[in-house]
Amino acid sequence: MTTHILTANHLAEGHVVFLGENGIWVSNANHAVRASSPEDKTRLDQSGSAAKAASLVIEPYLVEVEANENTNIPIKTRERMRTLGPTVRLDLGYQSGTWKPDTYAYTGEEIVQI
Amino acid sequence: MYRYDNFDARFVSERTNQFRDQIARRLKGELSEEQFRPLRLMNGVYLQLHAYMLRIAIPYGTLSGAQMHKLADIADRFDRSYGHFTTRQNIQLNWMGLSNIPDILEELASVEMHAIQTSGNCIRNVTTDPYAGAIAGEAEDPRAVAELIRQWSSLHPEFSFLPRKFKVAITASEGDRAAIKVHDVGLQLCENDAGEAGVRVWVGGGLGRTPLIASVIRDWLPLGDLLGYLEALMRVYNRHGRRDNKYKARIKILLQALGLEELTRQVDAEFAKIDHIDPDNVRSELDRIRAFFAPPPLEESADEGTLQSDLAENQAFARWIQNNSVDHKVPGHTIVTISLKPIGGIPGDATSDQMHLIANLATLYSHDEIRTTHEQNIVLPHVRKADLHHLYKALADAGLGTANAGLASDIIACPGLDYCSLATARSIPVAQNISKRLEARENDVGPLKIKISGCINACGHHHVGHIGILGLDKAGKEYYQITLGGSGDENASIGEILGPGFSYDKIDGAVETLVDTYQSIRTGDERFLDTYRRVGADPFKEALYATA
Ligand code: SF4
Repeated sequence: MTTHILTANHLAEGHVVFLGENGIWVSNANHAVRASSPEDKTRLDQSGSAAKAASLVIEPYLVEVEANENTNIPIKTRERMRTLGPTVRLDLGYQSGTWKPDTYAYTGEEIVQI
Repeated sequence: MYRYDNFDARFVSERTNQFRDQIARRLKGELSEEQFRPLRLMNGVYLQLHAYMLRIAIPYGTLSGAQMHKLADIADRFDRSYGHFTTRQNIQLNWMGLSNIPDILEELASVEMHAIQTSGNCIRNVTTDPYAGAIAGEAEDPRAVAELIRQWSSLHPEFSFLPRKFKVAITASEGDRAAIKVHDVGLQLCENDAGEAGVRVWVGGGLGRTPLIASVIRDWLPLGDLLGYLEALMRVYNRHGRRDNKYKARIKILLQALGLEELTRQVDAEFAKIDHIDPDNVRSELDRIRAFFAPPPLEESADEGTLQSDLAENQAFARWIQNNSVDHKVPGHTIVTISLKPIGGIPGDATSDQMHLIANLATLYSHDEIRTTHEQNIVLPHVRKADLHHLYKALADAGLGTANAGLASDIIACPGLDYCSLATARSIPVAQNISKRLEARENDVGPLKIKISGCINACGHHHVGHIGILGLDKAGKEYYQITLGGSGDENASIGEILGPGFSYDKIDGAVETLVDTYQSIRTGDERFLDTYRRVGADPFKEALYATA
């Protein structure tokens, strides 16, 4: 069975985000909620569409990951790079430790700042 | 340099305000992404792998010191303190937030710059020879004609929603440094037999999925007729270019479908109908524009200062002069290429500190003029020979003194999978590995153009590389296809695919084998391309695949 997480880009700031617990969008892919069953994947997909419609994120989609105890490692190089940053500038992107604050959630009715 | 008139200034300022409002409405959710996307693209804002990317137009690759300082300031204040110079003579900033963009556009407008027409299905930034106005033998400075076309095409109501993007390049030399034959329209300024100034028009060149060399559609046209003729050509393209399939939408496909004779007939027929563009007005507008491109006051001089003794004492400087400088048309002066390809570095990237330094050096030593090149380097076009050593030392101290212009490590590489959302493989680290491998012997190897694209869109111009490399995805793994024998100059050719591709780990070694092969079979002072054209692909194939 494959495991997926939901990713997108933050509408206002552009950076890569993942859907975490309690509807909060986070910048660390390891904190993303996982979906393995078809029902869970559909639910994740729907959360992405709702956050897109609420103008919180853009271009949400599911990403297949290798789910380890504490990490979610995307299978595809492209997606791995989105979780880290460019391979040619290790001082840039999330790999440099510049995580964005996990400040936004879409509750289904509004965008709330935490 | 061209200076905005009231119309230009008002247009750019209105567009900035309009886009500020559109962004505000988007952030409030009043515009959906589907509604907003074409608006942001019209203003040069893309969504890339890690963030938004802003592509800023550098019309015909010309910048003043103040403009370069502004780009560096913007990179510092709003991005990650560097910029990426592209193969279309523009600059990209890779870590943009949407909310900052209106302020950035306002900053750009303060130095007469913008990001309009750097995306979308319109006539894009007109590119030209980075040596324009400085090299001997030009019919005239092509930037005046490029500016004329910019004014005609900006905001053109008929040509804002073309079947596909449209790229125009222009040169005024016999030697083509603007790759005009791989553009939708290529223009070569030249005289007719009677010595009158005019232009030869090429059409239907391009790279990407269907690489093609352009054909001559008009051998000579008086300059007064240029805009009327382009308008006719664009109308035919706009009318018949395919809108049902974006891979078949460029004018090169229309040319293939109709044939040159029929396309010429249709354009000529349309041209005959055009009566709203008066050639006299075009000529007088061109004269007005030409005044902005008057050559700087360079004094002919035999005084080279201490140049000869500096060359004798400093080998690195001598190599830099040999590779990175070309004679200026005014004796006593030189055109200098600042390489943005440090060995093992990222092709086309410059830090904001480096940009500030280039701006200062341009003001000090090059009459405040800077050019960006489609090969992702910078040119200072008007440097006194007596100033060359000072200039070199300042550049070398800032990591900008690499003496490799036109050599194996002067590699064009698109952003590839490290940044680009369309990429199928990485380009930049491949370029880095090749440049490290070939550095030690590149002076022996001589002129060699290696060009790398991270997908079939070919922003890295791989089809016209002497060695071209195309990054693909094969079952989830990066995989690189090699083409040989391409060229983007006056003898343009499309490279031929050599054979099966190579993995990421093997591609730099494969390129080294090709260079070994060339060195073992070249005769006299043949360049890599000359050898390839003489012997064909077989010896290279044998060397690469015989033991595989
Ligand atoms: S060639 Fe492809 S990967 Fe490279 S910049 Fe263009 S679209 Fe992106």
